[in-house]
Amino acid sequence: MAKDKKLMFWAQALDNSSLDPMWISGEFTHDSTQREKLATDVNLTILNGFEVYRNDNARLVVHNTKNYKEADLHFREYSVLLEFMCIEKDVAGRLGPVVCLINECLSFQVNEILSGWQDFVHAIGREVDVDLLKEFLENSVELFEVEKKKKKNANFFAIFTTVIVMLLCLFLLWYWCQPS
Amino acid sequence: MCNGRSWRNEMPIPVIVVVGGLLVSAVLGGAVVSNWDSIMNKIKGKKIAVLGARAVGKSHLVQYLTAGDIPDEYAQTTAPNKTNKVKISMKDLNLYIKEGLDVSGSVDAYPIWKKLCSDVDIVFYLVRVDWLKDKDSNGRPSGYEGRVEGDISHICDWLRDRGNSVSIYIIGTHCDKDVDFISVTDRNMGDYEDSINKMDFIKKLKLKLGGGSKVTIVLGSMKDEKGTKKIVAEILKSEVQ
Repeated sequence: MAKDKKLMFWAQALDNSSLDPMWISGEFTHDSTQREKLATDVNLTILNGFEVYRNDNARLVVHNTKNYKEADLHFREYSVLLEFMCIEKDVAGRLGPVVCLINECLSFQVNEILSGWQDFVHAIGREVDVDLLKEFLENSVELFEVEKKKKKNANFFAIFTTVIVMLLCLFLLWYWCQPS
Repeated sequence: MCNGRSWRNEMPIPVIVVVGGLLVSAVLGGAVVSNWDSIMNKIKGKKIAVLGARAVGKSHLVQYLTAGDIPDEYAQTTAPNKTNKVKISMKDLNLYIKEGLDVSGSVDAYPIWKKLCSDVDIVFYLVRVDWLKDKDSNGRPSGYEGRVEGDISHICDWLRDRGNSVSIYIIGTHCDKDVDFISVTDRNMGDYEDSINKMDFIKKLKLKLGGGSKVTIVLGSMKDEKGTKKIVAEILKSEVQ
């Protein structure tokens, strides 16, 4: 179940001129290719994904990126985007969110994300309401599981409907081919 | 006003925002109603990209264009914000905005900007007039002019293959924070516009974008809904002309 899952974080600089802090697997990245890839992945998740939850301070977006089979087990991979506001505001007086992206995600643990989030926020000298963030992450885990089930049920329903329609077509074909 | 016409058609805006009838009418009043067909023909189905550096008012303008109001509280746009189908109604007129996307002003978002530019019809590039005129202006990012020049160079590159099919607007925002704007009224707005157009930096931007005939400069303040309406009205007027 566990693949090498990368936790990626992105925040905008509060002075609106410095390079945005981007953090991949516990380290800041200044590599332009990696940075562009992170920005593009975030964009693709928003464009193609489903906004599962949103309030003034937080957002959860889930995008089913890949379906595959290993042995007899079927897996669905998702990109999960979590956004949560820090306490600080930028020089223009705007709230500054931190965005966390998890690619190739099958499931995620609250403690793992929370710890990564706190490390990033401390590394960029900001603060976050840990209790609220934890609550948001706990809700997100539940909502993610619900979303996965919905997807599974939707796929099952699609297969079931296809089979019924095919059987119906075969029956009609057989019926019309009968000598009158 | 519009009975029997095909207003029920959706206005697909897969990339970013567009304008609703509510805005057009409210802003321009009777003068525009007679020009309504021209305006609608010009903007119907158009894709508009709203671009600019950080904290210049992109989210504000996108929200106004997609929802008809302005934000109560602002947050930096790091991950893009997608607006789903929005219906803007006014009397018997219904316009549908298929989709809007509010993107980050970070240079890391250039790949997203590039993608937007690949199939847009109109580009709005927002610049802060107060930051251009006053280098000590509050909150001005260091190297702001360089950032704007860099953005414009990239936009030119991305639009190079599109020929003359893309309209470009430079929208000068935050004029209310410019001391020279305080005494400006509708009557002497032209003088203010002339003074901005005469700025070497603005001339340079226009030249990069292909000259005055390809670029329209619209100036104003988006500190409130009235100012934002005025800016949108100016843009619509320009599109018709």
